[in-house]
Amino acid sequence: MTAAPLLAVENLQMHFRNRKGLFRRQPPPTRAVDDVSLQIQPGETLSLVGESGSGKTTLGRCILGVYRATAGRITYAGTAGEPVELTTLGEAELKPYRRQIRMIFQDPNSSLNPRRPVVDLIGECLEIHGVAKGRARSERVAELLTQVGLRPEYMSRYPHAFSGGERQRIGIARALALDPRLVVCDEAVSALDVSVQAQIINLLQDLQAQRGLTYLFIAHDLAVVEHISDRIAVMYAGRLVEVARTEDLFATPLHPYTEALIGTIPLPDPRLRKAARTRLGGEIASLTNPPSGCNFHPRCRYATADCSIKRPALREVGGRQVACHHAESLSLRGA
Amino acid sequence: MQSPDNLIEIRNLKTHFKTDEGLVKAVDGVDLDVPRGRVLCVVGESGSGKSIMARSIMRIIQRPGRIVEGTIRYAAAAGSEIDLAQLDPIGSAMRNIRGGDFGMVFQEPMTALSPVHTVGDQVTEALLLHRSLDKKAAEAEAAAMLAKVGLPDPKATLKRFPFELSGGMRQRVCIAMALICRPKLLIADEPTTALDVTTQAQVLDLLRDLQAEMGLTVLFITHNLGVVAEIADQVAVMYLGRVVEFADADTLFHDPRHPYTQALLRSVPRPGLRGARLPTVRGNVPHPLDRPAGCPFQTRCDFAVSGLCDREFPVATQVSPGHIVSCARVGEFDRIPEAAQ
Repeated sequence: MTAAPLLAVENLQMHFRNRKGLFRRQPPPTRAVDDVSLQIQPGETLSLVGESGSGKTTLGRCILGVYRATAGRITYAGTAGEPVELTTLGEAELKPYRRQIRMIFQDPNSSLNPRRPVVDLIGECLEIHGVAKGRARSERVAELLTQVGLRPEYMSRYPHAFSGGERQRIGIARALALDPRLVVCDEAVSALDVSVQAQIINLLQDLQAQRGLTYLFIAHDLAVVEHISDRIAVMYAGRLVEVARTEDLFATPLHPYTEALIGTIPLPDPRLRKAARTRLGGEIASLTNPPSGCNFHPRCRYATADCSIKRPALREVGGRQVACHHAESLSLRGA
Repeated sequence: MQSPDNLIEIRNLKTHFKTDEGLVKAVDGVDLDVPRGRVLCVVGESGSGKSIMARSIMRIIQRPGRIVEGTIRYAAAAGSEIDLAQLDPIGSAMRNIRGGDFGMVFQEPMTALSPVHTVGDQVTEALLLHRSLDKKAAEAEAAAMLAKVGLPDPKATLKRFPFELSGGMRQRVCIAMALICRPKLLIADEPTTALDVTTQAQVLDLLRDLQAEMGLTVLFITHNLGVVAEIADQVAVMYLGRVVEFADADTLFHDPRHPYTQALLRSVPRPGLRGARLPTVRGNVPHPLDRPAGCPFQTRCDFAVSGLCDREFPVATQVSPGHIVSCARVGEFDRIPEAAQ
């Protein structure tokens, strides 16, 4: 990566303290994100994938400033290219950057207030950031609705009057209201029906082309992820295990967890049903009491004695990044 | 007369909901055969009526919903037909079938399980109700079933509460509950939708294995076409309360004839199309109170002809043995897929 990144995450750590019981010792913290370093290039779509409990949403929220990371740095390239360290800023200093990094949520039913009309839902942030109010605000909302494929006349309606796909369009319009540069899409298409999901994926791609947006796309559906991403970062139990370009990752995964994830994609063709494919057994490692060595070793088919002792660092292998001791010697199966 | 190959034959089933806003025709004229000993997937988007159809078979439709027309003929053995639609939903005949002959697994394992009862209480409940076993024998059987669904340390798991288990383990408990009385039919309503991809794969494998081992008939409801391809022998595609296409899995994915099935299959992201625009079905599923006249899909269909498709629901046409399509224009194309692409 030679170009200056739009956002660089360095050794980020987000630990949540657990409550102490009466007379008990302080329990260990939940290590939701542990020592994650990652760069997002301007204009790209970077996907974060992993099972629930892998820390992908927590990482997204740290980038948005919802959570204050317990350690590490997030450096953002401002509009003039100046590096801004978001993790050191106070609330007031952070506000201008909150305009530039926005979020699209998974469930359009719970992320839109049912008691407020669309014009308020989308227009609220315009007022908060002093961009537009009154008439100008309505005009801006109308413009946004048109851009996401909804009729501007509908702005006085309430969320219940819209279908699931339309509500997600409202959520997208709200995320775009302040002309952000980076949009974090947290499972933005997971809750949608198949035919509607395709419409929303197309919309997200169109908007990216028109506005030069950068997406951090958090998802668990690898078929969607493959379709939409330039690069993919795979997380497991709070740590990054592999980062690669989409085609490389699917063709030749370097980490056993990536291979296992690819093996679980249900392909829409019964002729490709694999009679006896290797499944990933067991469950995701505990974040409060992670295994020694490599987090993945208890579930890994290729684990050796070394794996339970030494924690593999994310390192460069053939121009890609992987955190596995055996990355060079394994030849793993892709899609 | 029912075919001996079918466990259940549904004819012209209509399940309607009388609401304050109007009559919601959730299921509106479903014809469907559930073949014995196979996995039948019912696939459709939200609002297609697939869950209501399954709940109609179980007779667990809640007010204001009601089966207003049609038959659900169930033949436990050849010659012993009962029309489930005629039974009293809380009568003893239906109660013996529900939980005894039919088991059901739901989408959300956390809401399907009682949070205040142990796994053991919940799994043995059906045994104590349907088979006159004493508590000890029931517990032994429950432990054996938990082992069968792949739960580690079944004896200890019996004493645990649902909150102590992970999502995948809870769903395994639900499957054990549904199968404990060795049912003939297992209805699985989106059983993997709330699970992680890795757990989903494990649960699908488990259901496949159990189906083969116990000779189960499975009615599997899902909206995920990848899951359908993974598990189905036969597939029924539903749209707005009707079955629009029925075929074996290979035919459905490789020679779909209904424009809706084709559109649905094309809109799934698949390898090799990266970054390209996905073909979509235009518009949205119509509001249930605003059903189009004639073919339910005509408002979104690229092949719809006015005067034909907006008149009557198209008759079901058998295009080849076991492949039934309800489209007025199905005879006009030899193979619609090529015409559509």
